[in-house]
Amino acid sequence: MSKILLKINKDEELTYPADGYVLGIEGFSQIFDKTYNVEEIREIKNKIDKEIYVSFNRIIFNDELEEYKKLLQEIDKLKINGIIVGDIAPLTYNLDTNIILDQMHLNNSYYSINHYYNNGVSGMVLTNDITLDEINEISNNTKCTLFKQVFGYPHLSTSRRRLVSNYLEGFKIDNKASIYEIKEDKSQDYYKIIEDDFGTHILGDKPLNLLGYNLNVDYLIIDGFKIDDIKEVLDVFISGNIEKKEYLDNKYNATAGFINTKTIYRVKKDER
Amino acid sequence: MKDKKVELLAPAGNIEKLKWAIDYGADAVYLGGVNYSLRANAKNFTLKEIKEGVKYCHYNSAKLYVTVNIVFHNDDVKDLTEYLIELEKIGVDAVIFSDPLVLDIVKKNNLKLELHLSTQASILNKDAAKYYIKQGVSRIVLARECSRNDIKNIIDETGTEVECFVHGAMCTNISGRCVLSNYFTNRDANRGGCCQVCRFNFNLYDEDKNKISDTDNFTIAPKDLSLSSYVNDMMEIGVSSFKLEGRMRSIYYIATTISCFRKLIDFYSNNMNDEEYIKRVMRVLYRCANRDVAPQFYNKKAGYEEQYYAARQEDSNQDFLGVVLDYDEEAKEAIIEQRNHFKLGDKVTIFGPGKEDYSFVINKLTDEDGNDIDAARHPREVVRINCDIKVNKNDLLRIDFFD
Repeated sequence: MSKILLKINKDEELTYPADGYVLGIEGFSQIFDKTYNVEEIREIKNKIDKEIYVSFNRIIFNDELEEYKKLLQEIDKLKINGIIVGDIAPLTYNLDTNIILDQMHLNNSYYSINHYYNNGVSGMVLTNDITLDEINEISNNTKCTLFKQVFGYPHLSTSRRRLVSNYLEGFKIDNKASIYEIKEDKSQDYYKIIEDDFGTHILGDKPLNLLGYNLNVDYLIIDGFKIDDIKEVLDVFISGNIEKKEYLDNKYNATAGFINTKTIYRVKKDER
Repeated sequence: MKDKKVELLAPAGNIEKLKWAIDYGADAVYLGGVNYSLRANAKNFTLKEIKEGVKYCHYNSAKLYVTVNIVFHNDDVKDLTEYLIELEKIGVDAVIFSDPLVLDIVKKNNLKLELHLSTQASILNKDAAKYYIKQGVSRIVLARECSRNDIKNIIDETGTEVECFVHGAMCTNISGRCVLSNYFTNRDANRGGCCQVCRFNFNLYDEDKNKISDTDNFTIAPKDLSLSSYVNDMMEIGVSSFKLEGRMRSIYYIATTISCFRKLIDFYSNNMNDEEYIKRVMRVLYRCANRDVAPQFYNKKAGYEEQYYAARQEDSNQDFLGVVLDYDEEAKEAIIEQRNHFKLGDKVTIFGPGKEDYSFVINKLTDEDGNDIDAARHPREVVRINCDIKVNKNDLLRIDFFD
């Protein structure tokens, strides 16, 4: 039976009934509406009797390393359940806390996951780019603890550039929205564009909803980023009531992503 | 300047382009096999062609690297071990990979393959580099978002060989951290199917779906990268390999960019100082690129100036006039296979490996049989033009755009 983790985007979500929480940390997290400093995380850890994970889920520039390493070492002392990292630098830091690797779109096979498992990583956040069969094949062939996002907007890309600000500046457009969207003409789908201190991220047009799929993983992650109130979704996942799948799909215009769909990469077969 | 000789690394889209790259001065080439490469829809190389490429490179004291840089799914791994064993047997000099499973297979099978970590692994800091160095990687292709200081510090602190892209198209997003193509078209970006969504045009909206852009002039496309102005600086800070992008580009583009970077590297290696010479080389390079270029993240954080919007400048030019097939020393005539229209009175330049550009006016133009003609109009027609100095097969003819 998989445990359910809630990615915290608002303080009030810390009262919601999940098995554990994933907290963003100031300066080194991406795609969190709310982040915390070390002291706040310490307080949350002491106050709440649940599994706590802290997410340093972005990649790190060379000139940030000193501060990054210092912060990781402080979090390491808190004895939380795991530190989620988006960069492999911490694999050289001899941290005591479980390291969970979240590299967005990398590590799509059990071979890659086992490489990192054999080199100090205890958990892996699986990508959203693989199918149910692939996920379960990974599960059958690794001892690595597996985490998988099951609800929320998929994170499609990360750029160091400020793609919207640059455009607005260049075209002298005065607009200060907190989030932007682009429309794909063929499907008429709107993709969300978020800027933060790091750069620009593009999210999927629809939230992912994997309720009812038999995922053989250790942790299911629910993410309410840019969703008004995630409580109802969380309750449905905790209850395991798969009859509510259609309801959630309709309410949030949600999709199963690539869980049943293989991507292609060779448009035409090489005949040689 | 560090003592080590720097490498000029060129793309090879097929065996013909490989030979042009080596002939025009590349110290090494990189190419993709039929499988496992991030240009899945390019022609790519069969094992037999890789073998031929290795032979050609090694004969010319050059190296050949094979990209095995997709992010593998479970099923993709099936024949990989045999493929890597074949690459070792063939004698390729290194494999460029991004997925750590390649490293494990090479180690497990004791393969004598040098391992270069692809930019697709998005290495931006020295500690991430150290992880892979400890695993046996001998060279790291840094993410293109690294600044000069990042690059210098990574080299100084790790002592590893660092390869940097210096010229060509680049991704908007951090390489490996983008699957826009998967979602927009179902084509897998990290397995070589990228449809380049970052070159599309869009309308931009706020979250209430109010249109912000006047037209569909919102794009996320970056200008091409060019670090030609920083070649000397990059040599000073110890970059080992200068990598050109463009496995899908034309022979003219490849020959020109290699020729220009060869000149720049040799010029600075010999501590020469001639600003006019550098300016001329740059002009040839930028004109050939026929797109706007920028140093991107090398000297500052890329901003508005480093992006493309509507009215993207990508003018196709007809600078490339022909290929030298032979030289008639007695008549002092070059025999040319035409690529673009040229005529009597045109001022042209012939350039080739290891020689300075030679510019002159065409005052004699005949067909293959020596009959006077006023213009070379037909693609691939063979003509003869006056040429006072000896030129060689596979030198290239272009218009002289310096007047």
